[in-house]
Amino acid sequence: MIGTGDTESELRTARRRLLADTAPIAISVGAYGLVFGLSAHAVGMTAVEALAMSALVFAGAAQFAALGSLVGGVGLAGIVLLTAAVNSRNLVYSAALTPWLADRPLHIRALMGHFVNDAAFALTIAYFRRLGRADVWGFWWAAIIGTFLPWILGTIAGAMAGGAIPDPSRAGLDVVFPAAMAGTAVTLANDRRAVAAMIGAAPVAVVVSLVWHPGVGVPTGAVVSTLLAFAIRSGRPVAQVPASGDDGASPGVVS
Amino acid sequence: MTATGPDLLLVVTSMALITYVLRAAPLLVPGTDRLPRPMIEYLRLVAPAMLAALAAVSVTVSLAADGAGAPSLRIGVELLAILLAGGIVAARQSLLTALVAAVLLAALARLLGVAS
Repeated sequence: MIGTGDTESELRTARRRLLADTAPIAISVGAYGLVFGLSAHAVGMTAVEALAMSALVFAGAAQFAALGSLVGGVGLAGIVLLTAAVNSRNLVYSAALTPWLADRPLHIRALMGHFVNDAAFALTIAYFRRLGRADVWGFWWAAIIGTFLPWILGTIAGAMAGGAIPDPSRAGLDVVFPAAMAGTAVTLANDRRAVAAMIGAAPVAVVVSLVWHPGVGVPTGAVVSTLLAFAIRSGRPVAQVPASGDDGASPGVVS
Repeated sequence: MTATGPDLLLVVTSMALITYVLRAAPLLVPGTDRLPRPMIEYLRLVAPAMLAALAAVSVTVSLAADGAGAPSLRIGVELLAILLAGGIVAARQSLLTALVAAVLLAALARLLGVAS
């Protein structure tokens, strides 16, 4: 229901709803951050390095992929391309927010840009539509309290707790980031073509990695499989990412 | 094992820059989100492909600790764990549940001595 945004009671109601919507997302993001912190420690990153990545990049799927890339010997160019591919949907999120925020000062929009992600976008766009106008307080609440702070605190906790675990592999923690990459791949593969690209990439990458090196095998598998997938009709979506609002946002996963 | 120090700083900085551009460009320069359709489609497909390739290689291809010698194939509980994670996400749409299940599978297998 879209409100006119003209009354204080509408604003209070909308803000209360935003607070309620934020809580479970913040908990989920914090737990995910904890897992990232543990993973970062498992691959040898210090707590400061893990914190820096989480604060500056602030994109869970790309961060997990970066850990896997570093371990797998993928070079800087490959990591940057993967980051761009995984985070490209943020273009759509920002584009959807632009009409609501176009009248804000440029420096405020520049600052907001850092905090656009799945969860912050989903919370914000739902809040704006409920209110019928932009209320920047809502964006900052969703972005900082809903996602950024839990992500940072979770990362710190995980990175520091990792030091208390003498042998992470005995606890199964070494499978966290490959499992995170596999799970995120499934999340992103929402039609036949994307599923084909995903499934085809694995064997090609493994074979080329065995013949040559993982740093070559991984991008080769991805590029070859993606090009071949263009020959497949997209078809109906086979797996729906949980959405909030009409713009296909996927709350609960920090992108 | 991983990059540290200046190399990691370069990686983090590069990742942060490209991520910020993707997030902020439409807010700062309206119209920049209108990429050519084939490019948008390619980006949509290459992300799950790259992630799947990384996951598969990280659990099945072993490199010698000193980097010398050919890579070798290993099939173990780690492969089962990532397949389990993918299956749980496909069925339940919960990445956190998938990660917990994968970790528990690996830990249990090693505790029972059926995996190294």
